[in-house]
Amino acid sequence: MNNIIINRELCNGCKICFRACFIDVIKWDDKNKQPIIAYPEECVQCLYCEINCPERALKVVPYYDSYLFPREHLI
Amino acid sequence: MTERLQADVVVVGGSIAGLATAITAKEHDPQLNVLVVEKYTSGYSGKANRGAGIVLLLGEHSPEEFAQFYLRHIGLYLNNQKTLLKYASMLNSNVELIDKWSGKVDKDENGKFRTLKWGSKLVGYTPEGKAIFDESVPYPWTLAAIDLDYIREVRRYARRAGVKFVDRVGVVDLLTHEGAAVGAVGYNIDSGEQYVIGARAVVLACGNQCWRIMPMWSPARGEGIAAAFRAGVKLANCEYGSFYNWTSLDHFESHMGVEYALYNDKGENVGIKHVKEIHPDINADSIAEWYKQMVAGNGPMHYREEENPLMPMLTSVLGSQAVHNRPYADRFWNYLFFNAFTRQTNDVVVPGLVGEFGGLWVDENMATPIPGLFAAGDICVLGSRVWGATAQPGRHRGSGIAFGTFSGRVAGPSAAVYATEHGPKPLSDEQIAQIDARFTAPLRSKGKMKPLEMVAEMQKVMQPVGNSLYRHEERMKKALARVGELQELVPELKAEDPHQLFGVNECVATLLCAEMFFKASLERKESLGWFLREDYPEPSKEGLYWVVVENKNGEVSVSKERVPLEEYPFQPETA
Repeated sequence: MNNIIINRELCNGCKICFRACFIDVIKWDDKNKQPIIAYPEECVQCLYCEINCPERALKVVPYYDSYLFPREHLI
Repeated sequence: MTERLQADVVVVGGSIAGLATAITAKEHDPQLNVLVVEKYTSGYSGKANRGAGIVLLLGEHSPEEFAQFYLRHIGLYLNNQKTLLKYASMLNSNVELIDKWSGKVDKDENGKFRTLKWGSKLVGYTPEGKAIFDESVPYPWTLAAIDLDYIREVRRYARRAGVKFVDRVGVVDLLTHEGAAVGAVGYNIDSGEQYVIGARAVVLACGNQCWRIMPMWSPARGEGIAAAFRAGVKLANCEYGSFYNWTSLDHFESHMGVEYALYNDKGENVGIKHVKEIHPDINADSIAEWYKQMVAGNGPMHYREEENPLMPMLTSVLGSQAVHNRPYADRFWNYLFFNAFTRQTNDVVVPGLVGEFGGLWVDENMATPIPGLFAAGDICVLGSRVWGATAQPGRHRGSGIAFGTFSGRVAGPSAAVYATEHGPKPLSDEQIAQIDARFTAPLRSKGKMKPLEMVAEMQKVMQPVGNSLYRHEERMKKALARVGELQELVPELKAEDPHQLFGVNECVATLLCAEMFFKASLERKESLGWFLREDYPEPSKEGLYWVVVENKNGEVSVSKERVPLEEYPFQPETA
């Protein structure tokens, strides 16, 4: 699955990565004011969490081999 | 715990179609309480901020010129010409409004929208490094460019106008009273808290069904279509909901213009014969050619990008400042391209199913047949019949934002007028309880199947080109039977949290959409535009008709409805 890396020292708790995700991969930890990568297996590498992070505290490393796509059912 | 809300107009979905609806409803009557309910976060959600960010407009061309070209070469007269002309007449003002709402449309130093026609040829560069194009192409439209953070600005504009927002609440069903839409039931995707929303008018602008195969189209999971079907709407052109884009299995990013340079494994260019003088965008014939070559054992199929004449234009517009000034979009595309193309190991291409299945029947005012229920955006592109015999994006790129904005601008005032004329109606506790029982059932399921396991099974039915594009009765009946088997497995789906509850609801919606897709496809016994049948390779001689899908006692029922050409200004040349 994709690897979503968070530098928790840089994260300022602004919640933008949580808001930016358009398929609910990222949840929010209200107590610690930090993102939770709850469903990384569903990430579609749109990169909105990464490009919108104002602190550059988040990086998405796509692993395309694991992407859910019916590779054997094309014809 | 249940949160109860009341609005005059409730708009389901907070991307460009929903925001255009909400703004124009509020501006039509500032006294109205207009509420946007969004499953994720409005401003970031949806597909309209993750595409090319190009938007279609007519420029110097007239709506009639556009409509006639479109009917003749793309829609093949399977259109509602009244809506097509209305769409065409609002294309230029769409762009002006998006710029008013967001300030994000690219303009030159004189404040004029910087445009570039699709298919233009790069002929040189200015001393400043700006690309120079020959725009003498035969298409009566052009394209403006928007920076991709525009929807956040549109949301801010809507808030300033007085529109209210509820984020993180996904609507799962509609509430009705004596056959009219009177509200909706949703759930918070984080807490699972129920929201019951009463409204005088409801607008569905929550996207279509893209089968959860291609990455950037992943959020379109058809829940609004399924909710509307359960409420009793009518649908049309469902059989056209199978758009394919070329993609690489190495990274799943889209390629455009592959048909110009599609080679079989023998080294023969088999795509170019499907590219005619009028070739505004990918056609179904070239996808079918891929299928035929693969079945004949001539695969894998290759894409020689260096021979694609569209590439100079595409690489000048996306992730580049050669034409437009869009810093946010450039960053988005450059990150995406870097990730994808540094992983590409070969030139093999396959068609990836995008889908864009959005068949809610709406009239020229974006009203569905259910009183008080309106629609805007992708959910009703096919059902509006504005584009006729083609799949979205309708063989004119830049049309997604254009239709979303147009239909929102029509639906907003329509819903506002309806809300003014109709008072609030009582909400049925029995309906609310039934919806809650249906939606939360997977929490109590004794099954072990996970939603993603069901997604993988559904993909195997929908993705094959022989099922969903180059169709045949035998293959479609098998696919439909498999959809039925998967529907039988729904009680086995287990959810343990709100995210998974929505996952199950999305699977139920996808299976229903698949059933509609194959039943409608079986009904159309011909090949017409994007719709191809191996067993019926020619257009029907019985004239033009829409395949209509309706809810008959909970069952998917299909029938035909003749296209009323006598009511329209433009006639087919052979009629």
